[in-house]
Amino acid sequence: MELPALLTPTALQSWIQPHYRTPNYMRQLRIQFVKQQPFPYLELPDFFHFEKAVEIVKALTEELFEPKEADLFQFKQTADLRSTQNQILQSFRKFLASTEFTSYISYITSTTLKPRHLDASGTLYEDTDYLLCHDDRLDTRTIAYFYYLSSLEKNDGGGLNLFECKNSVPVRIGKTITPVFNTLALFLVSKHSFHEVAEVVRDVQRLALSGWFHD
Amino acid sequence: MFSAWLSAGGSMINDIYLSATLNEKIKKELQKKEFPSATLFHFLDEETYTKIQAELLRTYFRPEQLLTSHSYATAELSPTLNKLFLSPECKEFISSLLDTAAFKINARLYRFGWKDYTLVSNDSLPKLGVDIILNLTEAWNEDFGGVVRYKDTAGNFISLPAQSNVFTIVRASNRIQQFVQYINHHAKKRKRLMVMGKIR
Repeated sequence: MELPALLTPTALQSWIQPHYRTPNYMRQLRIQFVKQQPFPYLELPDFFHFEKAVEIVKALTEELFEPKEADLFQFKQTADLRSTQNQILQSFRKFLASTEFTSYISYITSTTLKPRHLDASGTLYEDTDYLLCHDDRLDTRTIAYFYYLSSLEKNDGGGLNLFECKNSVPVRIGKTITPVFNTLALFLVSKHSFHEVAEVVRDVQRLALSGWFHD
Repeated sequence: MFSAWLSAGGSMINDIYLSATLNEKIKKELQKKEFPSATLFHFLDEETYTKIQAELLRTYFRPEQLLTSHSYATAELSPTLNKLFLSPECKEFISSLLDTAAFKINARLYRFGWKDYTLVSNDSLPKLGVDIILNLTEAWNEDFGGVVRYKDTAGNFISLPAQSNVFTIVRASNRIQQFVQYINHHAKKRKRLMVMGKIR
C-alpha cells in the first residue's frame, strides 16, 4: 500500500490528530506494532481531535446501555452503532468503517482489512464489572480496537491486560493498558491474543467504544 | 425403610430427609424435564456440620488456575465428608433418589475467593451423571458473586442458593452447563467453600 495515498484524503485530516498522519510516524507505528510484546498491539493517546472526542462521549452517554452477563463477563453494552439514531455516532461509525480509515489501520498493522465490515458498540464497566481472559477469535475478526472515552487510575481496576503465553496457554500479564480519555488501543486477533478487562474496583465509569475490524 | 441403613451413631443426614414421602417428592424433582434438580436445605445434622467446619480450618487447599477455564483452590474431602459420602445412609439415600444401586461419587472440596471463578466447558462431550454441590460457607453474600449457575442453550441462567448446609443435586445434560460466577472485590478476604462433584 502506498503511504502517500493514505495521507491525502481529507476524511483522515478532519478526524485524526496531525502527528498520526505523518509518513515517518506511520512507518514507526507499523514497525512498532509487529514487535510489541506479548503480542502485536498499539496504544495511541490523543488520537482523535479533542473536540470530536468530546462530541462522541456526549453522544455515547445518551445511548441505551443494557446489562450483559455470562460466565465470562459482566458489563453494560449498547447495540451495535450501525443501528444508532444519533448523527454524531453515525458519522463516527461511518468514518471508522471508511476505506480511508481501514486503509490507515491496515497499513499500521500490516493487515488487509475490509472497509465497511466493522463491529462497533459502546461498553460501560462500573464497580465489580469485568471481562475474563479470552482470545477474541471468531470468524473474520482481525484487529480488535478500543477507543477510551473516560480516564481511570491504575488503582481503579478496569485495565486491559494482555497476557503472555506459554504453549498457546495464557500464563501471566505481559502488559496493562490503563484507559485514558481519547486513547485508541488495538491489537491483532490471533491464537495468542489472550486478554481481559480487569474488574473495576472503585466507584468509577470505564466508558469505551470498541469492536473489530475484519479481513 | 430408612432406619435399616443408618450408620452406627445415627445418620449424618438430617432426619427429615429419611422420610419416604419426602424422598418421593425429591425423586419427582429429579425427573422434571426443565432443569431436573433438587435443593435440600439443612441437609446435614448439626453435629456433622460442626465437625466439618472444624476440619475445614485444618484443610490445606491447593491453588489451581487455568485462566481460560478456572481459578480456585481445591482439596481432598475432609474425614467427616469422606465418611458422609461413603456411609450406607448416603449411598442408600442417593440410590433411592436415582433408582440405581450402581454408582460412584467423585467429589472434592473447593475454595473460591476474590478473582476466582469457573467457566463453562467448551468441550462437546455429552454430559453424563448427576452434579452434587454441598455449601459449607456461613452467611455468603451473593452480591460478592461466587454463585453456582447453570446456563441453558437459550442463554438463561439458573442460580443455586448459596446458603450454608444446602445440598443440591442436578441431573447433567447437554442442554445445561455449570459455572461458578466470578467473585468480586467486595468479598475481600472471605471465601466460599463447597463440595462439588459428580455421581456416575
